Parts: sequence; C-alpha cells; structure tokens
Amino acid sequence: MEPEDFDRLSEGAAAFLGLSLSEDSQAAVSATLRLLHQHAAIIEDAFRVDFVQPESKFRSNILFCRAFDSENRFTLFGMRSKDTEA
Amino acid sequence: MSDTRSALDLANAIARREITAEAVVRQAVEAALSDPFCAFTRVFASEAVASAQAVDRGEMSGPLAGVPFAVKDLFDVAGQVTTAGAKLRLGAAAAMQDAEVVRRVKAAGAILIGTLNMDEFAYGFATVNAHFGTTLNPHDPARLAGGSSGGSAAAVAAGSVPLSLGSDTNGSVRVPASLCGVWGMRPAQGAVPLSGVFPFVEALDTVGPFARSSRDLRRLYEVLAGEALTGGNQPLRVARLEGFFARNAAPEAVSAVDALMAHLGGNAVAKLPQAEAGRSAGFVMTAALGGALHLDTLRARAPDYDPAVRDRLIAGAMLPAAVLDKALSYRDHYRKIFYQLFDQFDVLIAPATPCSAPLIEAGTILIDGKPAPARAHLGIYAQAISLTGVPVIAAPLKTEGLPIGLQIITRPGLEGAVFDLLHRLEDEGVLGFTAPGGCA
Repeated sequence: MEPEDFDRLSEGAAAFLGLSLSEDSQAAVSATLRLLHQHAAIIEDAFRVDFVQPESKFRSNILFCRAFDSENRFTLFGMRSKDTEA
Repeated sequence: MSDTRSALDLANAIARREITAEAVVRQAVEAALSDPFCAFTRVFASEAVASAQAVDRGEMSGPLAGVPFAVKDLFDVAGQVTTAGAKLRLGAAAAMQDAEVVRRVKAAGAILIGTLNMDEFAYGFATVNAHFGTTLNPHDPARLAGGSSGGSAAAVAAGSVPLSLGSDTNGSVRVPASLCGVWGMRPAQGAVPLSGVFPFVEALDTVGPFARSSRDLRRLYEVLAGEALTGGNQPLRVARLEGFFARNAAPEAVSAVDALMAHLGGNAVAKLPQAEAGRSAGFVMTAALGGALHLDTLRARAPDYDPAVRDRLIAGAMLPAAVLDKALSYRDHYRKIFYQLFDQFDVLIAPATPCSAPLIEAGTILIDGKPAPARAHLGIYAQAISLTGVPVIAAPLKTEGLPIGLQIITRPGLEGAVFDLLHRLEDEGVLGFTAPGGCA
C-alpha cells in the first residue's frame, strides 16, 4: 500500500466512526495504520519462512507438515525421518 | 518520606510491636499526599489510618499486616470509580467491591494508601497522561518513569510505599520496573485472577506486583496467586536471548545482560528467530482487540480520550479481520516454538527495555537507527515475550547510573526455583534496587 492509501483509510475510519478528526489526528491514525500494516507484513513473511521456503522443495515439505503438528504428529515425524535420510 | 525498610521487615517490626502500623501508614499517606512525581492519583488517608489502627488493636492480621501498598487506577476499589487513567470514566459508577487481587492483599493485612497514575486505558509504555499528568522518574524527574504502570513503579522507587500492583499486557510492569530500577513481575497467564481489573486485551492481560526487594516481590506474588512457591536446589540452565533482543539495544542494555551472564559464569545463547514476528503479532492483537473493546465508546465520546491513545485505538479498530486472524494464528505457532526452548534451558535472560529512561522532552528512543515514539516502542523486548504467557520477573541490575532491568523468563512451575536464584544474586550484589538520590 502507498502512503496516500493509509491517508484514505484514515479518512474512512473517521467516517465509519462518525468522527470529525483534526488534521493532526488524521495524520496520527494514518501513521499508526501504516505501522500496523508493517507489522502485518512481518507476520506474513514469518509465515512464509516457517511454513514454505520456495528455494527448497524438500524443506518446504517438512515445514508444510510442521503446520499440521498439532493435528497430525505422524506426518511430522514421517517427514523428519525423510530429512535424516537426506 | 516513608519508612523505606522492606515490606517483610516492616511487617515483622509491626508484629513485634517495635513500631505501630499507624506510624508506618501515616508516613506513607504523607509521602503520597506530597508526591512530587505525579505517581498518585488519589490518597485514601482516613481509611488507611483507620485500618492501621485496627492492625495495632489486633483486629487485622496476616503476613503483611500494617504494610502500606497502592494500586494502579485500573483495579476496582470498593466505593471508588475505577478511572483506568481516563477522564471519560470519571462519571462512571463506583465499584461495588474490591478487585479480587486487592481483596487478597488486604486480607493479608496490607493497607491500601491510594491509586496510581497510568497511561490512559493502559495503552502505552510512558505514563504520559493528558488528564492526570506525566509520572516522573524518581531517579531523574526529567525522564520517563515508563508505563503503563508508571505510577506503580515510581511510588515504590520513591519510597512512598514498599509494595504496589500494576498490570502487564505487553510489558506494562516490566518496562516501568526497568526504568525506575525496582523489581516487578508478569505472572504466568492465568496464575493471578483478573476479576475487577479494567480490561485492555483480555488474551494478554495479567496483574503484576512491584517491590524494592526480590523477597518482597515473591511474598506479594504468593499473596496474589494464593499459594506459596516452593523452590528447590536443582541447577537451572540459563541462556541469554540474542538476535531480536540485542538489535536496538543501547550499550547499557547489552552491558546489563553481559554482567549477569558473566556473574553466572555461563555463555549459553538461546535463538528465537521468530521473536520479531512474535512481537508484531502482539502489536497487531493489542491494536485490533483494544480498538474493538473501545469501538462503541469511541463513537460516542472520542473527544474525551487522550488524543495519543484515541488515535491508536481508532487505527486498531480499522484493521481487517484477516490481519487479526493471522496474528492470532501466529501467536499459537510462536508459543509452540518458544516452549521448545525450555527443552534446553530453564531460564532465559533478555533486557526488559532497549535503554534506560529516555528524557520526557524527547519522547523518543532509537529503533533501527531512527527516533521512534517511546510510548509505543519501549516495550519491544517485553512484548515479544508476553504472547507466550510464561512468567517473567523484571530484575534491576545493581548499577551506579540510571537503572535498567532484565527480563528473567522461565516456564510456569519454576517460579520458586527462579526466585531462589534471584535472592542469591541480590545477596551477592549483582541485582537489586538502588535508592534514587534524595530518596534514600
């Protein structure tokens, strides 16, 4: 998103809440939204690193299965043993 | 100036009738009424003195009988309005009963002196409050006390009361404890009841104690949790957290970790490459869930909020549900990874804050080489741990300069053994409270 998108989002937020915000407040809301989207991007990246690494299909498989750890430990261990074989 | 003996020493002296509870409480009330640090928001003078007289008559007893304490203005106190640091709550109904933690501390015989300043609705790491003022750091009144439980830390550091209560959602006990040089604790999630405590982000909220010694902190925690901790002589495997927890650390924060690790004679390093994303998940959850909690009030009474808090809540309320959902999913993943560290280690060490107390006038700290608002960023290292729900003790390094604290992180169930270690380190002079100049 571009900086002006956050400004528009900030204006939309004020409209949604039925508020008339000062210019300073609009700018502060916009800056906070930008910061929150930066944090959201960090989380997205972390998910990619932890669950999918495109440069290594094999690694990707291991980590994909890790996502199922709480649901299916058998799959996880199966992949780990394959890791050992590799 | 109050009697600055430890809470346990005071309780013993009162029990042995070497000093009356009334004398101790009158000193605390006087200190609270003349508080130069904007730590107190209300003082319950007559009620406190009456309770002290009851202790002296033998009508009230307990392990903390006659010991003064104060609470962040986030806890229900029967007959008082819980302001949560907000002007817009001044007209709210008074609490019908004490918060459960206040009840427990009173039941242990301690005497409530007053309520303490905080960031509005606990959203901040600075205790810069547009309605109730900025709490000043007793070590240097030109500097921030930290937040959001800044009044709780400053009142203890200044010697007004030996014990206080705060809350820690993202670091609101650990950050002010670090900047004011006192002991603080974020208990394990769920270990201490939250009933009667004004909510912020219920998925992360905890209640935590402040004290000037590790033994006082332990005793107050035991009262809050309702159970005595057992220690043990098992050796604890200690490691420092690096990576994210060293990035952005000022020299004093790095030195603090170095000093403790050197004293312990260990050099083990625990790696947590997901820490930055963990912190981000906490940041997003706080903004979105905090914003959702306040949505209706924002619509009705936005101008009555502290502008710095309001604008962050509005932004949080506007986050798409998909972003919050991602943050919540990451929290679950992050917790699993974090707990794996306890396969190798029992105690993890990290700075509580990236630096010692910044100047109030500047209001910023350096993050990635750029000035960033202290209000939002002093808790970066604390926030990265909060998400895991584990117990953390903020321990002050014994230092001649401005105070700085360390996070002593462990897994639930090891609190007693970790306190035993901290008592030893305090006795050996590595950790401990240093009275501010003029407050000895």
